[in-house]
Amino acid sequence: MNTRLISHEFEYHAPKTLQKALELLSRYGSEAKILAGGTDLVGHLKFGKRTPAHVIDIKKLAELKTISKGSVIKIGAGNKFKAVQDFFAGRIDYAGLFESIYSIGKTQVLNMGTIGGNLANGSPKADTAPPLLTYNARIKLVSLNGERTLDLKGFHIGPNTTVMADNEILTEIEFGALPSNASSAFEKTARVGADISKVTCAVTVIREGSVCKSCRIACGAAAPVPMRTPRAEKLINGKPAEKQLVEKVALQVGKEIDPPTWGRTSQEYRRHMVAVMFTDGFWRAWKKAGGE
Amino acid sequence: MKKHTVHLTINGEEYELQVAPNELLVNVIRETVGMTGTKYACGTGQCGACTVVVDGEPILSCLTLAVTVNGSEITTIEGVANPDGTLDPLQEAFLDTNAIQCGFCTPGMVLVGRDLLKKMPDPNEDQIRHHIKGNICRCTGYNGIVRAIKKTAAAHKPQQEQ
Repeated sequence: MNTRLISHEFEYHAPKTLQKALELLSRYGSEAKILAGGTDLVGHLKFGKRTPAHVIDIKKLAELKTISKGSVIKIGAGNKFKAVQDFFAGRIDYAGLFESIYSIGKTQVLNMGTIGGNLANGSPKADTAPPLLTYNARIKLVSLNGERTLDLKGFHIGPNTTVMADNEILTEIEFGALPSNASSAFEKTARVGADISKVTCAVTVIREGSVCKSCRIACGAAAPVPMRTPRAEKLINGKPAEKQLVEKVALQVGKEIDPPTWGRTSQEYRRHMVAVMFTDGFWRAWKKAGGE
Repeated sequence: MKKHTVHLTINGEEYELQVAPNELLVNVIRETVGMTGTKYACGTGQCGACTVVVDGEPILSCLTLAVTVNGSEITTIEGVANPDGTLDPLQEAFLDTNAIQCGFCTPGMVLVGRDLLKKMPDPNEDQIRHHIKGNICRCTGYNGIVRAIKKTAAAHKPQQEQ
């Protein structure tokens, strides 16, 4: 495979506004691909995995680069990983999202890739998806016909497939503020530090004294789509956070995921590792939330 | 395929180029402009050899369509030394610490190392290793590179404290 050049030919468009981008997308539909950071799309163009007749560049759209604080946090989909990482640096509540971006690691990729692209690309391995799932994040999809806001849960419907229509652009990710006695963590295992994930696990806990009032668990690269593990969550919600119980929950997380059989990593390995990672992540989040 | 006119400032010099939409920045820099210091290696965004600095931030030129950086200021390894040919302190440190063997990763390493020192004048070893995570070196085992960055940071400390 020649990765030196792109042999596929296409028309390039750099609309100045979101409105113009939507008009182009509405005109070309399935013949167009949106270019945000390019770290996935340019590779796909090289390998012939995507062969759009039109590429619509939304890299420079300022409308997609806002981040707002408040009771609901809204992140423009065009924000680079680096901007999101800097925004959440030092925050205990959203540590899981920070850690997921930190785990991507490569300086250059953080300067290129966007949080919207990470989700819209539809990869089951998207590192930001598990923490966002544990924040009950919602995403805004916009087209010329209007906009809709959906739960992130349900957005991915299969490997590299989402519910987005051909004429839609993902413009924003939002989630509500966590209470003060809450924290989150992200765990990842990969071949080497800067690699694509083998399996990931994000945990958000809300603590009430020694009781785990709410524990939200989500895993990546563990199923055809990034997923929550509701049965495991149910085991611990409302119960005291004790070592034995957390171990039981960890085993349930391992059972509940639906790992692929292909690739370098076996199902058994993923099931085993996700349990270990849940345990580590749970206790880290628990301690950050003030628990013992 | 319609070509686009692209204005780039590379190492302080202005260029007006005609590029096709599917042309990669790495090839435009190496072949159209003729600066071969920027290296092509993996072509898939894993190794960092093709790193260039666009508008102040290191990016991968093998995963960047040249047409998308129209209007940008780009620094390549050729723009790092002083105009009189004397080396940048980090380049000097690379020579002093044996941070170079085959040299293929060096342009990317130097650009990313300078980026770190710009943002974090006194990084510890973990911070250095994290920042160069996107740059693969198959010769040196990284120790010389880490030492070079540390040495440059240490050499610049007194100046900053004055």
